[in-house]
Amino acid sequence: MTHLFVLSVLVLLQGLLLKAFPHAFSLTEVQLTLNFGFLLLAAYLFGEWTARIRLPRLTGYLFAGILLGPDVLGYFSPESVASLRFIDELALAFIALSAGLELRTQNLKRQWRLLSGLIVVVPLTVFCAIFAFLYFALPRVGSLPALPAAQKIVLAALLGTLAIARSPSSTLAVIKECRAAGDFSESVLCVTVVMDILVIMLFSLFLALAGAAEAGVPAHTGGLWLRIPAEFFLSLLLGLFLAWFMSGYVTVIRREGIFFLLCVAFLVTRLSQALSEQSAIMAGLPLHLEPLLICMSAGFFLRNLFGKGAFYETTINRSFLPIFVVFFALAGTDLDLDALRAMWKVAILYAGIRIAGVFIACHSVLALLRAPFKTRNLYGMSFITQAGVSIGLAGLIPRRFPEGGEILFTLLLAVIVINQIIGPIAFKFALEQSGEARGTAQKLPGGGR
Amino acid sequence: MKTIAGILFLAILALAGHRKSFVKLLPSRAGRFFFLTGTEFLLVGYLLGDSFLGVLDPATLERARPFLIVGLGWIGLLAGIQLEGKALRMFGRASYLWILLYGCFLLLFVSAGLHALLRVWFPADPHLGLAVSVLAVTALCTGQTSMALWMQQASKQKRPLGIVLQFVASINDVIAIVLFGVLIGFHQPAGGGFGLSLPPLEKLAFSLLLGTLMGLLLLMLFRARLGEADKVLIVIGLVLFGGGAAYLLGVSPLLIHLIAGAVLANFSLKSDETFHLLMRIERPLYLIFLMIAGAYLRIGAPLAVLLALAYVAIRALSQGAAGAMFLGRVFRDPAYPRAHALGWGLTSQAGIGAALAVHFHLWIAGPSPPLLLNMTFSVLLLAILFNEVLSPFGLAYVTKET
Repeated sequence: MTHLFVLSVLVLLQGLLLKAFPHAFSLTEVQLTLNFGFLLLAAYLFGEWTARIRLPRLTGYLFAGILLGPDVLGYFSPESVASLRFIDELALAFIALSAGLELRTQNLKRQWRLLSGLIVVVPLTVFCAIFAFLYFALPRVGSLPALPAAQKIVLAALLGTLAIARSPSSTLAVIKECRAAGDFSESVLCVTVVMDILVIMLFSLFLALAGAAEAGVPAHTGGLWLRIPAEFFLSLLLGLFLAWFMSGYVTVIRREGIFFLLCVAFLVTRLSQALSEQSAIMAGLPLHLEPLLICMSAGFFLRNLFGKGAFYETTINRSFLPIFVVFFALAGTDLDLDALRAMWKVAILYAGIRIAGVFIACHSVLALLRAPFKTRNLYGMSFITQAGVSIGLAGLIPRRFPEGGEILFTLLLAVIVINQIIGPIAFKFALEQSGEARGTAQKLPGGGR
Repeated sequence: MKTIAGILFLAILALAGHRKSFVKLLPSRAGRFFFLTGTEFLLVGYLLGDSFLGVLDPATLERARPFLIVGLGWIGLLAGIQLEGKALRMFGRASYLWILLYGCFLLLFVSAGLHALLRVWFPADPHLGLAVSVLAVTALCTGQTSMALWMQQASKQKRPLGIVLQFVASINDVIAIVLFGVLIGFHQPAGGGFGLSLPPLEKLAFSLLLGTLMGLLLLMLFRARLGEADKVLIVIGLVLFGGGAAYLLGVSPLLIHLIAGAVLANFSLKSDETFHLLMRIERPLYLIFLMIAGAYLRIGAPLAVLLALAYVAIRALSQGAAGAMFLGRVFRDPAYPRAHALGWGLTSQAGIGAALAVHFHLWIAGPSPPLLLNMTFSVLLLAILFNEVLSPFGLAYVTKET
């Protein structure tokens, strides 16, 4: 009740200020103070409220974003949302670092058969299911113009790849909220992270193949087959270097971890961008280093090679709740309700096929490993979330395929809305059923109660 | 890229500055104290700023302005949380009257001295009154870090004196923040065409209301059993929200958060816990805040340095005299044999003084702020630096024979 009251007061105050000074809201000073503070508090209070009805807090943060965003109440204009985008970079770096810190070599070794099975079979099944669906359904999607067969294949492959993508941030957030620890949560996180990396690599591969096909040149030109593994290993190497540097910081300074991590997050994102630009200028070959992979591998090496994971885990858990809350609330403002309204039928079908693909794949792998039926379902429920990378990559489709790309982008956004609403709820349920959720009333990183 | 490089540089310097180890290298008392209080980061900021290295160029500083607003809120909240009724009643009601008289004397003498001085160089400047008022109000502030550091190292017998000094400093800081809030009420912010168009006193009343509301919201949210991360989130959220609202309404974020902090301190059972939580995050925040403020410093003409020195001298003399006249009377006690010299122990001006300087800068900031007001800001920052070097000597003088 207190939370709802405080939330109402804040909404009222913000509404009054918006009405009294509508033009002032375009100022950076206002966007980075008043708007930021309002979004942070409102999303947090929403999260508390959803926790009371036994839903993940993450769902509350997302709903706060949807409600306050441009589509519903309009408290945040697209410009206001854009001014807070720097949070995304920070949050993704911390999420990747956290995910890496969660992975322990001994556990991964023990579960290698399950993990490799899931990493191969789930993406393959989902890709094939969505590819087949879209290949046959594309001519019937909205007002999509008639496409040549080659383009239909490329688009179906791209959308199929995006269907593989999960949301490591949502997965991690639910794990932290439930204080879950054990083989189940760790394997889900590991598979989720690997699938996201796989998606980034496959997507750039398919895009390049599409470009090569359009230009009528063989696909191996441009060192494509070499470039993607090179980018992968270079990112891992940078992650190793970063882990060494971060472990040195713990040894020598060991304080003000919050500020050090903020520096690291900015540094990694900016450095990878700068390296891409420099490699394009100097060697004519843009090397795309993935900050997500760099941070994740840094976390992994910190935990398993340098043994300094505890310091960073504690720091993230104690201090980064504000960044996570705003990150998910901003993700909520991104969810396009108009898109959902326009294509809800196809989107539900698409999401249904994707979920079915996930369940079939999980059942097959776990049946081979003779896992109980209940466990098979639990894994199925864990791979529904979808956000972040999918939204970012989906945004490339209309730019790359102006003809019909916009409609497919809308469809993808609609599917992401569905998955991101169902996904965290299903995963929380799965964690509770698995017995690994130790404190379901626990908040996202570091909360009390 | 430059913005990010600037911010990174700031953050790394803040980290380095947070380490006490490099302070150990400094042999002299004044030097060591100067570095321990963190005020040197004003100088670091100046060196990084446009007048020297140019890492913090105007574009970067422009983007860092929200940080200053948040910093003001944070400092205000910290100051407010220390205004707990129990602590304020420590010395009885009469002490307030004498401290108030001390403050009035200081205000009058600093105003008169500076007015006479500034009239020589800026005889017909329309902003003369404002410049003098701001300098006089800021003269009331006392940096408590050097005081606390001094007392940490002092013997057990000298500690009660430290408590008296901190008490006087806290009351004067509150008076300064409130007076600054009133001053703000007289002028619309320079940068934009927004802000409440209310008479000054009504604006002050509005600030009080908004501050109380913020405090009540904080109090309500803190009633639940919360983890550390939740508390940090709530405080950050409210400081951002309150700071932004204050900026938009043209009222003082320092004052609003001071009131919010005072409400929390007096109605919450967890105010101590909250204070320590805020302190844990405060130091690096404060150092970055000082660096950004330092980057705005424009020494330019030697006049600013001269005026700063004159300001320091007038303030110190007024403090010494007012201390002897008023503080010496009320705190006459065998525990404080040099109570008449208490005023000399209040020379440090960092903390709230720096916050008011930044507040003033934000308030006058615009495409071309008047020369006198710009110089007032520089004089304030330079005076803070000079006072920080002087304060250990003042403190040594007060505690000499106790």
